[in-house]
Amino acid sequence: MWKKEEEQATTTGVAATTPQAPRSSGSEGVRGAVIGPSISIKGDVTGSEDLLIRGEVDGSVSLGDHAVGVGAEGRVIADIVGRVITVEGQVEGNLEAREQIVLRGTAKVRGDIKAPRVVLEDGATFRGLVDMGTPDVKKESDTSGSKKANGVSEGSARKDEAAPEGAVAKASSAVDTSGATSKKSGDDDSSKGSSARASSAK
Amino acid sequence: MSWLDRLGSSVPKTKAEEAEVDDGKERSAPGLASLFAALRADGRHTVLDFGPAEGRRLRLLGRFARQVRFAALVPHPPRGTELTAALGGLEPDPGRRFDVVLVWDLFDRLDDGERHEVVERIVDVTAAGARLYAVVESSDAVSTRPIRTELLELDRVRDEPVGPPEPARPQLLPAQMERLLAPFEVVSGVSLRSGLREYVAWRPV
Repeated sequence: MWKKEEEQATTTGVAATTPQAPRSSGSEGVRGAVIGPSISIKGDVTGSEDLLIRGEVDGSVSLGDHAVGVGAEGRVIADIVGRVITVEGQVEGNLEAREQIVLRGTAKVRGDIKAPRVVLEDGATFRGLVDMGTPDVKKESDTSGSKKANGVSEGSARKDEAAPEGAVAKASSAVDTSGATSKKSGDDDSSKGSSARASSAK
Repeated sequence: MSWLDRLGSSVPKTKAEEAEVDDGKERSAPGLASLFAALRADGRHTVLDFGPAEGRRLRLLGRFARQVRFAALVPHPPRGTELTAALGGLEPDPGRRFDVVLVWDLFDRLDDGERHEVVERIVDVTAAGARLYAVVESSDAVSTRPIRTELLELDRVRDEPVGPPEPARPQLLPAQMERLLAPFEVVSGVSLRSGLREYVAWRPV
């Protein structure tokens, strides 16, 4: 009986102290900091954790080895650098990712994008240069071959089966494999590890 | 093939007939296929695509290209000074030149001066040996609708008319196309039953 009471108390405690996490937009899986929809930043955003942009950023976003997401409400006028970049909103600027760039169906991007793997979902609007890197760069590969799923197609520097010797077929079955997967605990506009040197904010 | 095999099935078409079959919106693209057949599947090409960015298109082009610039000027190209500005933004990486250009049906959407402006810009940004693909109306249609061409496979596309009908411009005849595309040399012109003509051109070394 004491176990049940303890369990009840624990459950209640959890419910009382942890606000229900709002489901992030399709760039979910980006854990870390969030720039909320009412936040506007003019300046350089750098940090050492993942970042989800649901507001406005005008400047630059450089998160090196981390995932950057631009939510459906996000408006970014900046170059973005990250490990994985997922866009659902609007971006005017260049995107550069060490692993992958995904433009979801609601994305509107104008600029150049550079990544070994680039995914354009049906409906994504993009104008610019896609640079998929040199074809002889060794990368992780999965074995299912490149395929189209749910209106998602990708291009990559990896070659298909008809490729000349030395090239490696690269595949991605879904865009969801990239980045972190845990939900964020809530909109957090000033999480540790991220800094936004803002010259002004609305 | 016995009569039993043919029952309920269509007679196999020759390649030429298949090229001319109008499947409604979906059609063969023998000219496009010949262009891709001439490319190296080593991911080292640099492509200028005047069409819109699409996932499947990127996947197909990615077999050949390291870089693809999507100009998104078709099916609704800007005109006048806006076209000039748009063309100015068509740059590969510094030190590189495009070696594959996909124009689609852009020429049918522009006036003569604008067409030449497009070709001049293509010449500026392409390397010797570059290949070009374009498609134009080959019928005496009174009006046409802009076409959004979806690349289904390297030899198959789907043409979808988008937007309201526009008065058709005078047909671009083969000789006119040859002059327009200079210094590119037309290496093939394929007339399709759908009323389109595909051109593949090559810029001599």
